[in-house]
Order: sequence, then structure tokens, then C-alpha cells
Amino acid sequence: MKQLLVVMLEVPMTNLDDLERTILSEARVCIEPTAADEARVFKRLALGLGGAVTISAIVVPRHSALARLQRWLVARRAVALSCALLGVGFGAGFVVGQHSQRTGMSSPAPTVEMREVEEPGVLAATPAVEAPNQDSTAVRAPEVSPAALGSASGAPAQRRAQGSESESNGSPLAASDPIGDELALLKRAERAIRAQNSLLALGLLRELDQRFPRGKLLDERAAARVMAECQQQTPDLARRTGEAYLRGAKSGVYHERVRRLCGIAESTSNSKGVSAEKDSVGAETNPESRRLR
Amino acid sequence: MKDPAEADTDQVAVTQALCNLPNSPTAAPASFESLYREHFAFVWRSLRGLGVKLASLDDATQDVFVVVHRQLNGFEQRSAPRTWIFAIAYNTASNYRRRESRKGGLVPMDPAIPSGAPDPEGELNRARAWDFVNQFLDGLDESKRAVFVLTQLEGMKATDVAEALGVPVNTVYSRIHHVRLSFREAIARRDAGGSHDQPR
Repeated sequence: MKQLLVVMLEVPMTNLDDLERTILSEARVCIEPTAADEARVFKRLALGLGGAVTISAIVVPRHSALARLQRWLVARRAVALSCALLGVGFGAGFVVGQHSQRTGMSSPAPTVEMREVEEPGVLAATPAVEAPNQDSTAVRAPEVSPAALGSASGAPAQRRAQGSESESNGSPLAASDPIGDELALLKRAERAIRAQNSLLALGLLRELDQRFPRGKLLDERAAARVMAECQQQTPDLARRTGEAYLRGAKSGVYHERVRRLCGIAESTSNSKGVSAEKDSVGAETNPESRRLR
Repeated sequence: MKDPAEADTDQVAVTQALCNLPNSPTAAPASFESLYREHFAFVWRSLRGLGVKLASLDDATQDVFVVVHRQLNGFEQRSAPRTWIFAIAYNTASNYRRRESRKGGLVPMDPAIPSGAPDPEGELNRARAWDFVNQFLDGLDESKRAVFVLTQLEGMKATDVAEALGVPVNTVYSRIHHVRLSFREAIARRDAGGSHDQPR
């Protein structure tokens, strides 16, 4: 009986009928990540973890599907280019014919007129050929600088909306809102601090340092770093870290939280000569502080 | 009503508790890179299955592996790495879903079919299949959703699922039975031309 139970428990949950299995397997394929997804997230991790992992650890494999797609795009580009040239040829012929009729000339038009027609034709055809070709991230990925990568990773909604393979370093969406990106990362760090996930917070702050060394939210970043460090350190060290921050920080907005998270009582900070705001809540008496410790 | 910060802390505590589940002591210690390479796709799919929107998927996956990196030294190999990582992904997905529901804003549509796909018909079928499964999953509560994702999409054993979710095996079987019935009913309704509304 016991053996039967063990066998039952070891049986994978796959006894579905064909239709269910088909739907599930197709759905699973649909949410499968690409090699570019893997490489992109790893790069962000490498940035966030500050060298604890190396980017070279993930070599972007050339997916066979990706290679097929590239071959298809190349073939499609060749066809489109041929069509464009044919169109230009016909267009040029038409213009030459019109010109000949107007001027009564029987000879072909001068070369200069053909160029005038040819260039707009080629330009008009170019976007149609170039537009779908946005899948070169996997190939170019190792050469992306942290700054360029950062600006892309900070706008996930916009970037993801272009599809897994469509991340482009030159995308105007990726580099359009550096303050928004900085703020989004800082908010994530803030949430990580609230969840007492100080390593994640510090990783995100490190990513901020690398991507936005001269950002607009440096004071906020410094305060967040102190709070995250205080969560990691021993009470004594945390108190010292917090006091050092309080001595140096101009703004008092974060003083109360830093005091709470770093375990600094109001009287302590005052005795150190810190210009503290009206904050009567000390860390030792604060229930939140006790919970977070 | 629970304070969000407190809920986050609870999630971390649950993750930490799940990390110390007993399991095979024979597993060899793995490096972070090898864990990442081996389990990235699993984490990505699981997060999708657990309801993380495509727009947040990079962030959520990064968060999962940052926690994996942080806790790797303390991971005692008593549970399978996949089980351990799923527990982290489960909590991360819960946080993201909660945040997204609080935000309540418009979420960009998933690009179901990438432009220039080599097999548009196949892509369309797969996108429809995922759309159907996703709608079905949205109708399940969080625990049943996790059971469905792990057993039906990932093909994990009930014992492993029980371990990952910290529930008895019998509970997992009961949930499997329920979600399968619901899934069959949903397929029957779809084939009969009905709506995609799913029962809880």
C-alpha cells in the first residue's frame, strides 16, 4: 500500500487528454523566453550585483529560430529592395516618357533628372525594408555599454511592448526619460527596503550609480543606501552609519526614517549636534524598528 | 487590511522558511551562473503563469535571481533548487500582482505575435492558446493558480509542488483535481462558442 502511494506520488501530472495537452504545450511555447531575454536580464543582474557575477558567464546562443528569422528577413529585404529598384526603374521611365512628351524630345532624359526620381523612391522603400529588422540585440548584446543598457532596462513597459527580440539600443523610447528611469529604479530600491530586502536594494542602488552617476535624485539615493546598509549591519555599525549620514545630510526629509532604521534615538542624534527635525520617535521605542530588525 | 510593508515582510519570511525545507541531501552545490542558466526559463515562465505582466517581467525575474544570489550561501540543498527557486518566484509574483492591482492603471497589451514572425499561423495559434490559458488562470485563486502552473505547464510532481508551496500533498492533489475539472469545463465552453469566463 505504501509502495503504491509512493508510485502515485512520483507520477508526473501529465495524464491529460490530447486537446488539453495541445493547448498547454502551445501556451508554454508562447511564454518561452528567448536567448535575448536571458542575456538582457543577466546583464542587469551583473550590473545590479556589482561584479559578483560576470557578464561573460552567459554567452548568447544563436537560437535556430532566431537564425531562421534573420535569414528570412535578409531574404525579404532582398525581395523588397528588388521591388524598390523595379519601381524606381518604372517610375523613372514614366517620368522620362512624360518629359519627352512635354518637350517633344525623342532622346532619353538626362541623368540628372533620373537621380531626382530615383532618390525619393529608394527613401520611400527604405522604412518598409528596415522596420521589422529589430532582432539584432542578441548579436550586439555583448558590446552594449552599461549606460546604454541601463537606459533600455529602465523602461520595461515600453521596451517589452516591442516584443522580446526588439530591444534596440538606438530606440528613442529607451533613452527618452532618464529621470523617469532613475525614479523607477529608486522606487524599486525603496520597495526593497520596505520589504527588508536590503541586498536587492543595494543592488538596485549600485545599478543607479552606474547608470546615473550624476542623477537628479542623489540625496534620495544616499538616504536609501544608508537605510539599506543599516538593515544589513549590526546595530552598532548601523547606528554609526546612520549618524554619519545625519551629520552630513542637508535635507531633513529622510532623517526620521534613517534614525528609525539605523536604531538612532532622538537624544543620541541631538547630542551629536545633528540638526534634527521634530522627530520624537526613537528607534528603541519604535515598533516598526523592532519588527524590521 | 494588512499593511503592504508588513505583507512584504511576511512574504520574505515565508520564502526564508521555505528555503529550509528538507529534501535530498545528495544534490551538489551549484554556482549562481549555472543556476541562472538552468532555471532562467523556468522562472520566466512561472512568473508569466503566476500573473506577472510582460511589462514587469524583466524586473520580476531580476528580483528573483537577486534573492537567489543573496540566499545561495545559506541554501542547504535540502530542497531541490527548482523548488527553492519557485518559492522565491511565487513570493515575487505575489508582490508584483499586488502592486499592479493597487496601481490599477492600464497595462500595455502583450505583443502576442511579433512582427515578421517566420510562422505567423503557428504564432497565432500559440498566442491564442496562451490567451486562453491566461484567462483561465486569471479566474483561479493564487494557490490553485500556482498548482496549475507547476503541474500542468511545468510538469512537476505533486510531491515537489507540495514542497514548493508548503502544503500537504493531499491538498495539492485536491487542487489538481479541481483545476483540471475547471480547465476541461473552460475548454468545453470555448469549443461550444461560449465565453472565457472561468469559475473560481
